[in-house]
Amino acid sequence: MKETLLEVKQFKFSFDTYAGEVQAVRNISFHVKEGETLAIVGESGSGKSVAVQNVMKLIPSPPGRIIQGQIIYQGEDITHYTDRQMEQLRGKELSMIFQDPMTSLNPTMKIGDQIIEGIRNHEPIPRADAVKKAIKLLTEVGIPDPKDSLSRYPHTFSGGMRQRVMIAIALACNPKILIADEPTTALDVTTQTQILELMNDLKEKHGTSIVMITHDLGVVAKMADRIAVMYAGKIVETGTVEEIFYQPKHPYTWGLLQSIPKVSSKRMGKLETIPGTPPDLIAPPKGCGFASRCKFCMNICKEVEPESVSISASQSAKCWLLDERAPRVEREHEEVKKYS
Amino acid sequence: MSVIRFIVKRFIISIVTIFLLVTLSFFLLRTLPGNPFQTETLLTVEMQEKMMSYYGLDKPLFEQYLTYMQNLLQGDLGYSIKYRNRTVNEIIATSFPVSADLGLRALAVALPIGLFLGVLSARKRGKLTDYLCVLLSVIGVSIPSFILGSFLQYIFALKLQILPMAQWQTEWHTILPTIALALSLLAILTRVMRASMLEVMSQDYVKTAKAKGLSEGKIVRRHQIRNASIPILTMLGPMVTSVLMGTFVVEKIFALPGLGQHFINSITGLDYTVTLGLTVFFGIFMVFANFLVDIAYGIVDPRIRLMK
Ligand SMILES: Nc1ncnc2c1ncn2[C@@H]1O[C@H](COP(=O)(O)OP(=O)(O)O)[C@@H](O)[C@H]1O
Ligand code: SF4
Ligand SMILES: [Mg+2]
Repeated sequence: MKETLLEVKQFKFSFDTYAGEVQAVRNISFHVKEGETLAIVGESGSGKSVAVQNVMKLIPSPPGRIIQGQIIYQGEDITHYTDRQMEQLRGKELSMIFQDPMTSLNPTMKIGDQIIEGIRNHEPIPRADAVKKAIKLLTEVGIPDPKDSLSRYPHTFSGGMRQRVMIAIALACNPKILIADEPTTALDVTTQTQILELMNDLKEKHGTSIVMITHDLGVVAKMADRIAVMYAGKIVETGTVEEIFYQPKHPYTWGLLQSIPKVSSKRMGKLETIPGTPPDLIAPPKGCGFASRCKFCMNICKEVEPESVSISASQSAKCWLLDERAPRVEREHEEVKKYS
Repeated sequence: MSVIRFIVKRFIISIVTIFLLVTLSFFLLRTLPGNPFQTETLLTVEMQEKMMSYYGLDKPLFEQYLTYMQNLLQGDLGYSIKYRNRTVNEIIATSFPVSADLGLRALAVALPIGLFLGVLSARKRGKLTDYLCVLLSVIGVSIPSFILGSFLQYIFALKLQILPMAQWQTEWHTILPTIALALSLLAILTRVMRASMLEVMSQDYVKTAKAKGLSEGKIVRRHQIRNASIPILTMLGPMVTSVLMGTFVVEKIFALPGLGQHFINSITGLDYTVTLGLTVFFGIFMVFANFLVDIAYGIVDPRIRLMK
């Protein structure tokens, strides 16, 4: 049995804004085990970034505020760690790469320095050794001419290369968990595949756990072990990749599965998206958050929030359709093809 | 290679700019009504005309322009029309050092304090410290320097009698005018630096730096201040030029023999040669200052370096 590295329990997080309290994350729980890849999937605005940035406490407070819950890393409750304490974990135990490689590197600093400062922040080694290590890292992530690249500035690299540099920075101190917040969304399709493959390789090689955030279920098919589907600040369904792809239980997951571009399909090029918009997180609905967009919405859905129902040891979903009194409905569309 | 080309290109552009500046100023000045001798009531019209011809002002305008340009090429800015027997070169040579001295002192005070307060204010956004800095910068920008100058004189010279009222003689004399000039500079610098820091603080790369585990101090020092200074560099060229060229108001209040008075007096008195000479001097200085700023810009921001 693999050890659980990270556990987030009943976590609620809000932003205090002039318009009111934005309830970005509304009571979520998830965990990450050693060496596994957890994918968090959901439409833009569903609270994925807020959820994972909280693990590293990257959101300034104010305006952010923890309402309740715990974050437990290797058995230690880090929910109320000070910045000082977090600095020991950031970059060393937990690392993060972001969506836009164009803006996540400092434009006025050589990439070598950006890698080296991370290394030397955690390991008191001479600069020359750190340089060697940086070269090794750049080689590992597939940057050509790693030695010369050290003295180049970010703007001289393409988006894909910059994301590789970001990965090098993130992996510099051999973190146990790598959090990747939509790492390929800003890249073209070919580059996307390359970056995902690179991450997969590095994961195998170093045994790093990955928390992969994406709004595209297609991206995770190859990578993830487990998937958590987020909607309007909640995790509405979670399960292994097989469970989510072959026996999804939540209407929102069904919608997401239909919006994957299918190369083999006749509908190629025509992306199906779920009609409607997510609810306002300042005044979230009291029942199911998906009710206003759900084809199967029943009276109870608007009134009472569905409880989480266990389907297997690893799968659970929050939907009134899973209640024994509810009518039985089938997913409408074809079985989703195997992706990997 | 690109550095040399950049410098050569900038040099040529500068020459053309200065040439256009002189030419435009020359002809525009002459469209002002009246002549330099009108105001001197003792002179008859006949005498005025004599004077005009003595200074060559009766010749065709274009001929005067050619003569002026010829002299200018040899660095000769000509005689002042009002200060008999004084060349414009002499006027600049005696007044500029005073203005530049005051200007440098004011900058030396305003730059470090302004940048520091800007950073502090942004880091403490929404806290009392921030409000105090913002208040100071609003005061600094909105109080005219003649009011501030007079106020300082009243307090420190008249009431407390610990500093001299005016003149430019000892170190003590420099304190009040320096403060009077520095406060508004400081205010502008604080405001720009604060805005710039706030923008940098919300950038993704700052989040990256934080995710590496860097401490707040290191993030501010290595990633924020340098990038936030770029807008400051841009405004430094014109700021340094105008400050070193002398400020009429402050120099007037403290009776300083600087350059500022000549800008105003020569225009109201239609002292063409002085106005033109100062314009040329100002222009060259500005071009040079901007040139230095551009080089500094390239050092701080590598993206700029490549584009040129
Ligand atoms: N700094 C902030 N201030 C106020 N609201 C915020 C802030 N950051 C995020 N939010 C809100 O939190 C919600 C979740 O955002 P986010 O986690 O970025 O979504 P995702 O990553 O899933 O696209 C959104 O409704 C967003 O508007
Ligand atoms: S609870 Fe009701 S509204 Fe919500 S997803 Fe299930 S069926 Fe649809
Ligand atoms: Mg996001």
